[in-house]
Amino acid sequence: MYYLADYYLKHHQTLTSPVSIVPLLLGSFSIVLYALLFYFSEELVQMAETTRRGDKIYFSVPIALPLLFSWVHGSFAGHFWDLLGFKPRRG
Amino acid sequence: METISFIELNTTTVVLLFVIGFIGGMVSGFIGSGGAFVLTPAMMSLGAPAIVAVASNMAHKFPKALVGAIKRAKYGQVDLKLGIVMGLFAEAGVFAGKEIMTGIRERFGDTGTDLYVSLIFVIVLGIVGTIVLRDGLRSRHGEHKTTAAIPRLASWARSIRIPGTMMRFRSLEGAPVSLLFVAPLGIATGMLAATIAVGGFIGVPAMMYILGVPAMMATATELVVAFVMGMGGSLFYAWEGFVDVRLALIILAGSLFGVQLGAIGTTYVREHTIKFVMGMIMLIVLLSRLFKLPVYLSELGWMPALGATTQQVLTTLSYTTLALALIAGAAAILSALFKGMAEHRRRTAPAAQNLAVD
Repeated sequence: MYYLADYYLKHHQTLTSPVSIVPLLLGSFSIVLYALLFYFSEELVQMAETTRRGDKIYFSVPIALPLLFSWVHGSFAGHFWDLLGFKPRRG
Repeated sequence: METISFIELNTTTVVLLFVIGFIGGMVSGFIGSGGAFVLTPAMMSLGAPAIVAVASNMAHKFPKALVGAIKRAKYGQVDLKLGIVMGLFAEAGVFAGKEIMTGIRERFGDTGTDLYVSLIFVIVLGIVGTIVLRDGLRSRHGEHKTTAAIPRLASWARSIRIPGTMMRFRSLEGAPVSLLFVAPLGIATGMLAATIAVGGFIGVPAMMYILGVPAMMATATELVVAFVMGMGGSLFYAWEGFVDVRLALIILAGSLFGVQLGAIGTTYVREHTIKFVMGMIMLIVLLSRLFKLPVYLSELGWMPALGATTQQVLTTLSYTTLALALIAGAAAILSALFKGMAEHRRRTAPAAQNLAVD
Protein backbone atom coordinates (compact mmCIF):
# COMPACT_ATOMS: atom_id res chain seq x y z
CA MET A 1 0.00 0.00 0.00
CA TYR A 2 2.90 2.30 0.82
CA TYR A 3 4.25 1.95 -2.70
CA LEU A 4 0.84 2.54 -4.23
CA ALA A 5 0.34 5.65 -2.11
CA ASP A 6 3.86 6.82 -2.85
CA TYR A 7 3.25 6.40 -6.55
CA TYR A 8 -0.05 8.26 -6.32
CA LEU A 9 1.49 11.17 -4.44
CA LYS A 10 4.24 11.48 -7.02
CA HIS A 11 1.96 11.19 -10.00
CA HIS A 12 -1.45 12.51 -8.90
CA GLN A 13 -1.04 15.65 -10.95
CA THR A 14 -0.57 13.65 -14.13
CA LEU A 15 -3.19 10.96 -13.66
CA THR A 16 -4.91 11.95 -16.85
CA SER A 17 -1.67 12.08 -18.83
CA PRO A 18 -0.89 9.38 -21.42
CA VAL A 19 1.61 7.79 -18.97
CA SER A 20 -1.15 6.65 -16.63
CA ILE A 21 -3.52 5.67 -19.44
CA VAL A 22 -1.04 3.25 -21.02
CA PRO A 23 -1.16 0.58 -18.27
CA LEU A 24 -4.95 0.85 -18.16
CA LEU A 25 -5.20 0.29 -21.92
CA LEU A 26 -2.69 -2.56 -21.87
CA GLY A 27 -4.48 -4.19 -18.93
CA SER A 28 -7.84 -3.95 -20.69
CA PHE A 29 -6.36 -5.31 -23.92
CA SER A 30 -4.79 -8.16 -21.97
CA ILE A 31 -8.13 -9.04 -20.32
CA VAL A 32 -9.85 -9.00 -23.71
CA LEU A 33 -7.20 -11.30 -25.18
CA TYR A 34 -7.59 -13.81 -22.34
CA ALA A 35 -11.40 -13.63 -22.56
CA LEU A 36 -11.09 -14.44 -26.27
CA LEU A 37 -8.73 -17.32 -25.46
CA PHE A 38 -11.32 -18.96 -23.22
CA TYR A 39 -14.16 -18.16 -25.65
CA PHE A 40 -12.35 -19.78 -28.59
CA SER A 41 -10.79 -22.56 -26.50
CA GLU A 42 -12.51 -25.35 -28.46
CA GLU A 43 -11.51 -23.87 -31.81
CA LEU A 44 -7.86 -23.80 -30.72
CA VAL A 45 -8.02 -27.48 -29.80
CA GLN A 46 -9.53 -28.27 -33.21
CA MET A 47 -6.82 -26.26 -34.99
CA ALA A 48 -4.14 -28.42 -33.33
CA GLU A 49 -6.06 -31.56 -34.38
CA THR A 50 -6.19 -30.27 -37.95
CA THR A 51 -2.41 -29.71 -37.88
CA ARG A 52 -1.83 -33.24 -36.55
CA ARG A 53 -3.94 -34.65 -39.36
CA GLY A 54 -1.52 -33.08 -41.85
CA ASP A 55 -3.28 -29.83 -42.81
CA LYS A 56 -0.67 -27.23 -41.80
CA ILE A 57 -2.77 -24.10 -42.42
CA TYR A 58 -2.99 -23.25 -38.67
CA PHE A 59 0.45 -24.47 -37.57
CA SER A 60 1.76 -20.97 -36.83
CA VAL A 61 -1.12 -20.10 -34.44
CA PRO A 62 0.67 -21.54 -31.34
CA ILE A 63 3.70 -19.39 -32.20
CA ALA A 64 1.91 -16.16 -33.11
CA LEU A 65 -0.47 -16.13 -30.12
CA PRO A 66 2.22 -16.43 -27.39
CA LEU A 67 4.17 -13.64 -29.12
CA LEU A 68 1.11 -11.36 -29.23
CA PHE A 69 0.08 -12.17 -25.65
CA SER A 70 3.61 -11.72 -24.31
CA TRP A 71 3.89 -8.33 -26.01
CA VAL A 72 0.60 -7.03 -24.61
CA HIS A 73 0.49 -8.83 -21.27
CA GLY A 74 4.25 -8.50 -20.74
CA SER A 75 4.09 -4.72 -21.20
CA PHE A 76 1.14 -4.56 -18.82
CA ALA A 77 2.96 -6.68 -16.22
CA GLY A 78 5.91 -4.27 -16.37
CA HIS A 79 3.64 -1.27 -15.70
CA PHE A 80 1.83 -3.26 -13.01
CA TRP A 81 4.97 -3.77 -10.90
CA ASP A 82 6.01 -0.20 -11.55
CA LEU A 83 2.64 0.98 -10.25
CA LEU A 84 3.09 -1.10 -7.09
CA GLY A 85 6.49 0.50 -6.50
CA PHE A 86 8.69 -2.36 -7.69
CA LYS A 87 11.16 -0.44 -9.80
CA PRO A 88 14.71 -1.39 -10.76
CA ARG A 89 17.45 0.28 -8.74
CA ARG A 90 19.02 3.10 -10.67
CA GLY A 91 22.75 3.80 -10.50
CA MET B 1 0.05 -44.08 -33.78
CA GLU B 2 -0.56 -42.78 -30.25
CA THR B 3 -3.75 -40.70 -29.92
CA ILE B 4 -3.09 -37.23 -28.54
CA SER B 5 -5.84 -35.47 -26.61
CA PHE B 6 -5.71 -32.07 -24.92
CA ILE B 7 -6.95 -31.71 -21.34
CA GLU B 8 -10.21 -30.06 -20.28
CA LEU B 9 -9.74 -26.65 -18.65
CA ASN B 10 -11.39 -25.90 -15.31
CA THR B 11 -10.88 -23.28 -12.59
CA THR B 12 -8.43 -25.42 -10.58
CA THR B 13 -6.30 -26.16 -13.63
CA VAL B 14 -6.21 -22.51 -14.66
CA VAL B 15 -5.32 -21.21 -11.16
CA LEU B 16 -2.68 -23.90 -10.66
CA LEU B 17 -1.01 -23.22 -14.01
CA PHE B 18 -1.08 -19.46 -13.35
CA VAL B 19 0.56 -19.80 -9.91
CA ILE B 20 3.23 -22.27 -11.09
CA GLY B 21 3.86 -19.99 -14.07
CA PHE B 22 4.32 -16.99 -11.78
CA ILE B 23 6.80 -18.69 -9.46
CA GLY B 24 8.65 -20.34 -12.35
CA GLY B 25 8.80 -17.01 -14.18
CA MET B 26 10.25 -15.27 -11.14
CA VAL B 27 13.03 -17.86 -10.85
CA SER B 28 13.74 -17.58 -14.60
CA GLY B 29 13.87 -13.78 -14.48
CA PHE B 30 16.35 -13.93 -11.61
CA ILE B 31 18.72 -16.76 -12.57
CA GLY B 32 18.11 -16.86 -16.35
CA SER B 33 16.42 -20.25 -16.33
CA GLY B 34 15.19 -22.88 -13.94
CA GLY B 35 11.47 -22.19 -13.74
CA ALA B 36 10.52 -24.56 -16.51
CA PHE B 37 11.67 -27.83 -15.00
CA VAL B 38 8.59 -28.09 -12.84
CA LEU B 39 6.07 -27.20 -15.56
CA THR B 40 6.38 -30.35 -17.65
CA PRO B 41 5.71 -32.71 -14.69
CA ALA B 42 2.98 -30.33 -13.46
CA MET B 43 1.15 -30.43 -16.81
CA MET B 44 1.58 -34.19 -16.99
CA SER B 45 0.09 -34.60 -13.53
CA LEU B 46 -2.93 -32.57 -14.74
CA GLY B 47 -3.41 -35.17 -17.48
CA ALA B 48 -1.52 -33.74 -20.48
CA PRO B 49 0.39 -36.33 -22.55
CA ALA B 50 4.20 -36.02 -22.15
CA ILE B 51 4.80 -34.71 -25.68
CA VAL B 52 2.06 -32.05 -25.29
CA ALA B 53 3.50 -31.00 -21.90
CA VAL B 54 7.01 -30.63 -23.34
CA ALA B 55 5.73 -28.78 -26.44
CA SER B 56 3.45 -26.40 -24.51
CA ASN B 57 6.20 -25.70 -21.98
CA MET B 58 8.54 -24.72 -24.81
CA ALA B 59 5.88 -22.56 -26.49
CA HIS B 60 5.41 -20.53 -23.29
CA LYS B 61 9.15 -20.32 -22.63
CA PHE B 62 10.39 -18.52 -25.71
CA PRO B 63 8.14 -15.41 -25.50
CA LYS B 64 8.73 -15.26 -21.74
CA ALA B 65 12.49 -15.40 -22.36
CA LEU B 66 12.07 -12.61 -24.92
CA VAL B 67 10.25 -10.37 -22.43
CA GLY B 68 12.84 -11.15 -19.72
CA ALA B 69 15.72 -10.49 -22.12
CA ILE B 70 14.26 -7.13 -23.22
CA LYS B 71 13.74 -6.13 -19.59
CA ARG B 72 17.27 -7.04 -18.59
CA ALA B 73 18.73 -5.50 -21.76
CA LYS B 74 17.29 -2.21 -20.50
CA TYR B 75 19.44 -2.67 -17.39
CA GLY B 76 22.46 -3.22 -19.66
CA GLN B 77 22.90 -6.85 -18.57
CA VAL B 78 22.49 -8.66 -21.94
CA ASP B 79 25.22 -9.69 -24.38
CA LEU B 80 23.03 -10.10 -27.47
CA LYS B 81 25.79 -11.39 -29.76
CA LEU B 82 26.88 -14.10 -27.34
CA GLY B 83 23.23 -15.05 -26.73
CA ILE B 84 22.46 -15.44 -30.44
CA VAL B 85 25.68 -17.37 -31.20
CA MET B 86 25.16 -19.73 -28.27
CA GLY B 87 21.45 -20.03 -29.07
CA LEU B 88 22.16 -21.20 -32.63
CA PHE B 89 24.57 -23.88 -31.41
CA ALA B 90 22.05 -24.79 -28.70
CA GLU B 91 19.49 -25.41 -31.43
CA ALA B 92 21.82 -28.10 -32.87
CA GLY B 93 22.20 -29.48 -29.34
CA VAL B 94 18.41 -29.75 -28.95
CA PHE B 95 18.17 -31.98 -32.02
CA ALA B 96 21.13 -34.10 -30.87
CA GLY B 97 19.52 -34.44 -27.43
CA LYS B 98 16.22 -35.51 -28.98
CA GLU B 99 18.00 -38.19 -31.05
CA ILE B 100 19.63 -39.63 -27.91
CA MET B 101 16.27 -39.66 -26.10
CA THR B 102 14.57 -41.39 -29.05
CA GLY B 103 17.34 -44.02 -29.19
CA ILE B 104 17.04 -44.77 -25.46
CA ARG B 105 13.24 -44.96 -25.68
CA GLU B 106 13.43 -47.46 -28.55
CA ARG B 107 15.87 -49.66 -26.61
CA PHE B 108 14.64 -49.37 -23.00
CA GLY B 109 11.14 -47.85 -23.24
CA ASP B 110 9.77 -44.86 -21.28
CA THR B 111 11.29 -46.02 -17.97
CA GLY B 112 14.69 -46.03 -19.70
CA THR B 113 14.32 -42.37 -20.74
CA ASP B 114 13.04 -41.47 -17.26
CA LEU B 115 16.13 -43.08 -15.72
CA TYR B 116 18.41 -41.34 -18.24
CA VAL B 117 16.79 -37.94 -17.53
CA SER B 118 17.09 -38.45 -13.76
CA LEU B 119 20.73 -39.55 -14.01
CA ILE B 120 21.58 -36.48 -16.10
CA PHE B 121 19.80 -34.31 -13.49
CA VAL B 122 21.78 -35.88 -10.64
CA ILE B 123 25.20 -35.76 -12.38
CA VAL B 124 24.91 -32.27 -13.91
CA LEU B 125 23.23 -30.61 -10.96
CA GLY B 126 25.49 -32.39 -8.48
CA ILE B 127 28.66 -31.06 -10.12
CA VAL B 128 27.46 -27.66 -11.31
CA GLY B 129 25.25 -26.95 -8.28
CA THR B 130 28.10 -27.62 -5.86
CA ILE B 131 30.52 -25.41 -7.80
CA VAL B 132 28.03 -22.53 -8.07
CA LEU B 133 26.91 -22.72 -4.43
CA ARG B 134 30.51 -22.94 -3.16
CA ASP B 135 31.50 -20.00 -5.32
CA GLY B 136 28.49 -18.01 -4.11
CA LEU B 137 29.37 -18.66 -0.47
CA ARG B 138 33.06 -17.85 -1.04
CA SER B 139 32.27 -14.59 -2.83
CA ARG B 140 29.93 -13.67 0.02
CA HIS B 141 32.72 -13.97 2.57
CA GLY B 142 35.49 -12.33 0.55
CA GLU B 143 33.51 -10.39 -1.98
CA HIS B 144 35.90 -7.54 -2.62
CA LYS B 145 38.70 -9.93 -3.49
CA THR B 146 36.76 -12.17 -5.84
CA THR B 147 34.11 -10.25 -7.75
CA ALA B 148 36.49 -8.76 -10.29
CA ALA B 149 38.62 -11.91 -10.72
CA ILE B 150 38.27 -13.96 -13.91
CA PRO B 151 38.01 -17.71 -13.16
CA ARG B 152 41.22 -19.63 -13.87
CA LEU B 153 39.56 -21.79 -16.55
CA ALA B 154 38.21 -18.69 -18.30
CA SER B 155 41.65 -17.04 -18.29
CA TRP B 156 43.06 -20.14 -19.94
CA ALA B 157 40.22 -20.30 -22.50
CA ARG B 158 40.76 -16.65 -23.37
CA SER B 159 44.51 -17.17 -23.79
CA ILE B 160 44.08 -19.76 -26.55
CA ARG B 161 44.30 -18.24 -30.03
CA ILE B 162 42.93 -20.32 -32.94
CA PRO B 163 43.12 -18.26 -36.16
CA GLY B 164 39.85 -17.84 -38.02
CA THR B 165 37.70 -18.79 -35.02
CA MET B 166 38.22 -15.81 -32.69
CA MET B 167 35.20 -13.66 -31.73
CA ARG B 168 34.84 -10.67 -29.41
CA PHE B 169 31.95 -10.33 -26.96
CA ARG B 170 30.79 -7.36 -24.93
CA SER B 171 30.39 -9.42 -21.77
CA LEU B 172 34.06 -10.43 -21.97
CA GLU B 173 35.03 -6.75 -22.08
CA GLY B 174 35.99 -7.17 -25.73
CA ALA B 175 38.45 -10.01 -25.07
CA PRO B 176 38.57 -12.43 -28.02
CA VAL B 177 37.61 -16.05 -27.43
CA SER B 178 37.58 -18.94 -29.88
CA LEU B 179 34.24 -20.04 -31.30
CA LEU B 180 35.48 -23.57 -30.67
CA PHE B 181 34.96 -22.90 -26.94
CA VAL B 182 31.56 -21.24 -27.37
CA ALA B 183 30.12 -23.94 -29.69
CA PRO B 184 30.37 -26.92 -27.28
CA LEU B 185 28.83 -24.80 -24.52
CA GLY B 186 25.87 -23.97 -26.77
CA ILE B 187 25.48 -27.57 -27.90
CA ALA B 188 25.63 -28.85 -24.30
CA THR B 189 23.02 -26.24 -23.28
CA GLY B 190 20.70 -27.43 -26.07
CA MET B 191 21.23 -31.10 -25.25
CA LEU B 192 20.38 -30.46 -21.62
CA ALA B 193 17.33 -28.43 -22.63
CA ALA B 194 16.11 -31.35 -24.77
CA THR B 195 16.67 -33.72 -21.86
CA ILE B 196 15.57 -31.88 -18.71
CA ALA B 197 13.95 -28.72 -20.19
CA VAL B 198 16.42 -26.40 -18.44
CA GLY B 199 19.47 -25.78 -20.60
CA GLY B 200 20.47 -22.84 -18.44
CA PHE B 201 21.70 -25.17 -15.71
CA ILE B 202 24.70 -25.73 -17.99
CA GLY B 203 24.57 -22.55 -20.09
CA VAL B 204 24.81 -20.05 -17.22
CA PRO B 205 27.63 -21.69 -15.21
CA ALA B 206 29.50 -22.43 -18.48
CA MET B 207 29.37 -18.76 -19.46
CA MET B 208 30.51 -17.78 -15.95
CA TYR B 209 33.33 -20.24 -15.36
CA ILE B 210 34.55 -21.18 -18.88
CA LEU B 211 34.16 -17.84 -20.67
CA GLY B 212 34.40 -15.54 -17.64
CA VAL B 213 31.06 -13.73 -18.14
CA PRO B 214 29.90 -12.00 -14.91
CA ALA B 215 26.97 -13.87 -13.23
CA MET B 216 24.63 -10.92 -13.75
CA MET B 217 25.27 -10.89 -17.53
CA ALA B 218 25.37 -14.69 -17.86
CA THR B 219 21.88 -15.08 -16.37
CA ALA B 220 20.55 -12.28 -18.60
CA THR B 221 22.24 -13.60 -21.76
CA GLU B 222 20.84 -17.06 -21.08
CA LEU B 223 17.38 -15.56 -21.69
CA VAL B 224 18.47 -14.75 -25.28
CA VAL B 225 19.80 -18.32 -25.68
CA ALA B 226 16.48 -19.66 -24.34
CA PHE B 227 14.54 -17.47 -26.80
CA VAL B 228 16.53 -18.56 -29.87
CA MET B 229 16.49 -22.21 -28.82
CA GLY B 230 12.85 -22.18 -27.70
CA MET B 231 11.62 -20.52 -30.89
CA GLY B 232 13.17 -23.26 -33.05
CA GLY B 233 11.87 -26.05 -30.82
CA SER B 234 8.39 -24.54 -30.67
CA LEU B 235 8.20 -24.26 -34.46
CA PHE B 236 9.07 -27.95 -34.69
CA TYR B 237 6.40 -28.97 -32.17
CA ALA B 238 3.80 -26.57 -33.62
CA TRP B 239 4.33 -28.08 -37.08
CA GLU B 240 3.49 -31.49 -35.60
CA GLY B 241 0.41 -30.06 -33.81
CA PHE B 242 1.60 -30.95 -30.30
CA VAL B 243 1.37 -27.47 -28.72
CA ASP B 244 -1.68 -26.89 -26.51
CA VAL B 245 -1.61 -23.12 -26.88
CA ARG B 246 -4.24 -22.67 -24.14
CA LEU B 247 -1.91 -24.20 -21.54
CA ALA B 248 1.04 -22.19 -22.87
CA LEU B 249 -0.91 -18.91 -22.65
CA ILE B 250 -2.25 -19.51 -19.13
CA ILE B 251 1.26 -20.28 -17.85
CA LEU B 252 2.47 -17.22 -19.74
CA ALA B 253 -0.09 -15.04 -17.91
CA GLY B 254 1.55 -15.88 -14.58
CA SER B 255 5.12 -16.15 -15.74
CA LEU B 256 5.16 -12.71 -17.40
CA PHE B 257 4.39 -11.18 -14.00
CA GLY B 258 7.06 -13.38 -12.42
CA VAL B 259 9.84 -12.90 -14.94
CA GLN B 260 9.66 -9.11 -14.61
CA LEU B 261 9.72 -9.20 -10.83
CA GLY B 262 12.71 -11.57 -10.94
CA ALA B 263 14.51 -9.25 -13.38
CA ILE B 264 13.85 -6.24 -11.10
CA GLY B 265 15.24 -8.32 -8.22
CA THR B 266 18.61 -8.69 -9.98
CA THR B 267 19.15 -4.93 -9.80
CA TYR B 268 19.03 -4.99 -5.96
CA VAL B 269 21.33 -7.93 -5.27
CA ARG B 270 25.02 -8.69 -5.57
CA GLU B 271 26.55 -11.42 -7.73
CA HIS B 272 26.92 -13.85 -4.84
CA THR B 273 23.16 -13.79 -4.12
CA ILE B 274 22.38 -14.90 -7.68
CA LYS B 275 24.97 -17.69 -7.43
CA PHE B 276 23.67 -18.72 -4.02
CA VAL B 277 20.03 -18.93 -5.18
CA MET B 278 21.02 -20.77 -8.36
CA GLY B 279 23.14 -23.32 -6.49
CA MET B 280 20.46 -23.86 -3.88
CA ILE B 281 17.73 -24.52 -6.48
CA MET B 282 20.00 -26.90 -8.41
CA LEU B 283 20.81 -28.99 -5.35
CA ILE B 284 17.17 -29.24 -4.22
CA VAL B 285 16.12 -30.33 -7.74
CA LEU B 286 18.93 -32.91 -7.65
CA LEU B 287 17.50 -34.32 -4.44
CA SER B 288 14.08 -34.59 -6.07
CA ARG B 289 15.47 -36.76 -8.90
CA LEU B 290 17.54 -38.81 -6.47
CA PHE B 291 14.32 -40.02 -4.83
CA LYS B 292 13.06 -41.35 -8.18
CA LEU B 293 16.21 -43.27 -9.20
CA PRO B 294 15.43 -46.46 -7.19
CA VAL B 295 11.89 -46.51 -8.67
CA TYR B 296 13.20 -46.53 -12.26
CA LEU B 297 16.02 -48.99 -11.50
CA SER B 298 13.54 -51.38 -9.93
CA GLU B 299 11.09 -51.04 -12.87
CA LEU B 300 13.90 -51.92 -15.30
CA GLY B 301 14.82 -54.94 -13.16
CA TRP B 302 18.30 -53.57 -12.46
CA MET B 303 17.79 -53.76 -8.69
CA PRO B 304 15.45 -55.75 -6.38
CA ALA B 305 11.78 -54.82 -6.90
CA LEU B 306 10.33 -52.16 -4.60
CA GLY B 307 6.93 -52.50 -2.95
CA ALA B 308 4.03 -50.40 -4.26
CA THR B 309 3.95 -48.32 -1.06
CA THR B 310 7.69 -47.60 -1.20
CA GLN B 311 7.35 -46.52 -4.84
CA GLN B 312 4.42 -44.25 -3.96
CA VAL B 313 6.31 -42.69 -1.03
CA LEU B 314 9.42 -42.04 -3.18
CA THR B 315 7.33 -40.54 -6.00
CA THR B 316 5.48 -38.22 -3.59
CA LEU B 317 8.78 -37.20 -1.98
CA SER B 318 10.17 -36.43 -5.43
CA TYR B 319 7.28 -34.15 -6.42
CA THR B 320 7.23 -32.44 -3.02
CA THR B 321 10.96 -31.70 -3.23
CA LEU B 322 10.51 -30.32 -6.74
CA ALA B 323 7.83 -27.95 -5.48
CA LEU B 324 10.08 -27.05 -2.55
CA ALA B 325 12.88 -26.08 -4.98
CA LEU B 326 10.58 -23.56 -6.65
CA ILE B 327 9.09 -22.22 -3.43
CA ALA B 328 12.52 -21.90 -1.77
CA GLY B 329 13.85 -20.13 -4.87
CA ALA B 330 10.90 -17.74 -4.96
CA ALA B 331 11.20 -17.01 -1.23
CA ALA B 332 14.95 -16.31 -1.56
CA ILE B 333 14.34 -13.97 -4.51
CA LEU B 334 11.51 -12.07 -2.80
CA SER B 335 13.50 -11.76 0.40
CA ALA B 336 16.55 -10.43 -1.52
CA LEU B 337 14.30 -8.03 -3.43
CA PHE B 338 12.56 -6.61 -0.34
CA LYS B 339 15.83 -6.34 1.59
CA GLY B 340 17.53 -4.64 -1.35
CA MET B 341 14.65 -2.19 -1.82
CA ALA B 342 14.53 -1.33 1.90
CA GLU B 343 18.31 -0.77 1.96
CA HIS B 344 18.12 1.36 -1.17
CA ARG B 345 15.33 3.46 0.35
CA ARG B 346 17.32 3.95 3.55
CA ARG B 347 20.34 5.12 1.56
CA THR B 348 18.42 7.47 -0.68
CA ALA B 349 16.01 8.84 1.97
CA PRO B 350 18.48 11.33 3.58
CA ALA B 351 19.29 12.81 0.17
CA ALA B 352 15.60 13.21 -0.61
CA GLN B 353 14.98 14.82 2.80
CA ASN B 354 17.81 17.29 2.23
CA LEU B 355 16.30 18.23 -1.09
CA ALA B 356 12.91 18.74 0.55
CA VAL B 357 14.45 21.00 3.22
CA ASP B 358 16.28 23.04 0.58
